[in-house]
Amino acid sequence: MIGTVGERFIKYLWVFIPLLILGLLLNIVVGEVSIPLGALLDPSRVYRVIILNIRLPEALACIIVGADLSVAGAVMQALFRNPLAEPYVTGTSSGALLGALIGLLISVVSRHGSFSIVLMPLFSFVGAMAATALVLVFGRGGWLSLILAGIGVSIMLSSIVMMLDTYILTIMPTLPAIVYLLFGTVSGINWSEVLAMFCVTLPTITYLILSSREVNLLMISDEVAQAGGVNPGASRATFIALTGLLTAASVSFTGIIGFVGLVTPHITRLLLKSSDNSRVIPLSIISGSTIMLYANVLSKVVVPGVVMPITAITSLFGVPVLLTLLRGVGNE
Amino acid sequence: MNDAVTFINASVGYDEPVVRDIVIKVPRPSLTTILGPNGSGKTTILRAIIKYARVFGGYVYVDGRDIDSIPIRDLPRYMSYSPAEINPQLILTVRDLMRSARGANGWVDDGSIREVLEFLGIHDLVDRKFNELSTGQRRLVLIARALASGAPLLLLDEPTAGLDLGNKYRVINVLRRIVDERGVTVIAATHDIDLALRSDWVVAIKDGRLLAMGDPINIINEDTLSKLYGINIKVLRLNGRRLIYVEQHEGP
Repeated sequence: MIGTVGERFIKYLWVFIPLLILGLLLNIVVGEVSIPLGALLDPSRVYRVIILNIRLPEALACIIVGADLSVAGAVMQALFRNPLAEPYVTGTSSGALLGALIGLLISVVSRHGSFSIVLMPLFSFVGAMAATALVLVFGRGGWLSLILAGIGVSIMLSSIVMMLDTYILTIMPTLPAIVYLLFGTVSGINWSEVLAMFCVTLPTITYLILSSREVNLLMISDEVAQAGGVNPGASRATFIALTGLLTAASVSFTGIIGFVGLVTPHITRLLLKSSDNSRVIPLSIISGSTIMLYANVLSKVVVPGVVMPITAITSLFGVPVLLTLLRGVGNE
Repeated sequence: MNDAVTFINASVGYDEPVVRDIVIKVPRPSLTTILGPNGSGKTTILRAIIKYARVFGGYVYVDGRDIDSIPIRDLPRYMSYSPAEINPQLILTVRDLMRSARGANGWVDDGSIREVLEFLGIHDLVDRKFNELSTGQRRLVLIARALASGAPLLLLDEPTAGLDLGNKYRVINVLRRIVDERGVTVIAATHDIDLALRSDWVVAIKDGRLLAMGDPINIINEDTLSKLYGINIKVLRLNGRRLIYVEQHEGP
């Protein structure tokens, strides 16, 4: 046996942290204007503006979104005892997006555009919860039915989003935020948005890490959880709400970014050879952030001079993982 | 000393009572089996003890305390529950399972995990994935998890179901050792008359009612078993042991 779970955890922290720092640096230097590494020590005024106003908030957004979606995915997979669960697949993200658009619409119509920074995440959370509740009602048949219900609800919500979006663009043709949200990207994000995401993310993830023993019990069975001192109904509802909060925090400001929440927890469990959430959740934060940082760099360099939607990159790599997992389902 | 578990005129179930007006006492320490045909309410009785089924009337006591007065958070101090089978969909190692055995009471450290697994002679499985174990190994691991909780009362659902003869007796011997050497009370809901014969106390349930309760010597007889299962069962005595067989008529 090569080491314990705890030793593997420490080892992969040491692997991911340098990768994360390198990814952060790459995000700062790569873009429409490339910044030579040497210039980072003593940047010119133009470089400084680009770094502080564009590159750094984008990179930090990648880190936060990567953590949000990965932790949400890890917890959802454990709660639903379903390896395919994650915010995108279960329709939670679509609900969050619709909610965010409604929040944006309300703040614009009420002529308080600056309220959007509060109203968007708030309505996004309501939307995420409503979509998740809908999927849980229709997806009770186990395994694949949850996923099918998620896809169904996603398609329905996406068509509402399309209509709403067309309407908003018609009456307010100068509202660029909408376009960003639809494509799933961190580009154009500003400091106050990053701060808002961080304020939701930090306490939520901290609480989930501290509750990882309860998540572990729910992963086994409801009776085992109850005899272990965890009220399964109440705890599951709380944890679902927290994953909704994480989803809303990221979707409100970066739109739907698919499959990060699916892929990261699986990679993390494979590396740890364990599904103990007291290790899986913390390592998923680091691995998910790292994955997002590199996906963002790729989105900027695939076609030089064009920033691709980051979700196109994550989906490109995420779908093969989903398909591999689906093959495993068939063998059950 | 209080009995480990007492049901006093208790009716328990879910939307409506499954088990009605039942009186049970489980002595401590003991290996107690709840015997009964499918759907008789065995599992419901276990679930009543972990407060997962509703008590409609009467009382259920654990260690002399009304379970209504025990908050769910405190349950792991009194008991541990183990299902017959779990089907983890994610990588779940034996160590992962053991680590959470004490539930909300805290993690089980590696030393305690080793001690319990060695007691049951399965420490070589500690880093294996649960899904890749044989049925017999999985059953022993689930029993080890219950034991690692440190609780004085272990509730096991069908601990010998689906096991071949060798594995079945391995589980029965383990349960005997847990009771005899550790002074822990084990309540097993089971179909297995061999397990009931090796237990200290038998509770026979039929159609949600108590049919008989007592020492296996008094309960495992032709009359009770035939009533319990609704078929003609003979009990033979051979070298001081009891043999159960079902009187079958020739032909279909």
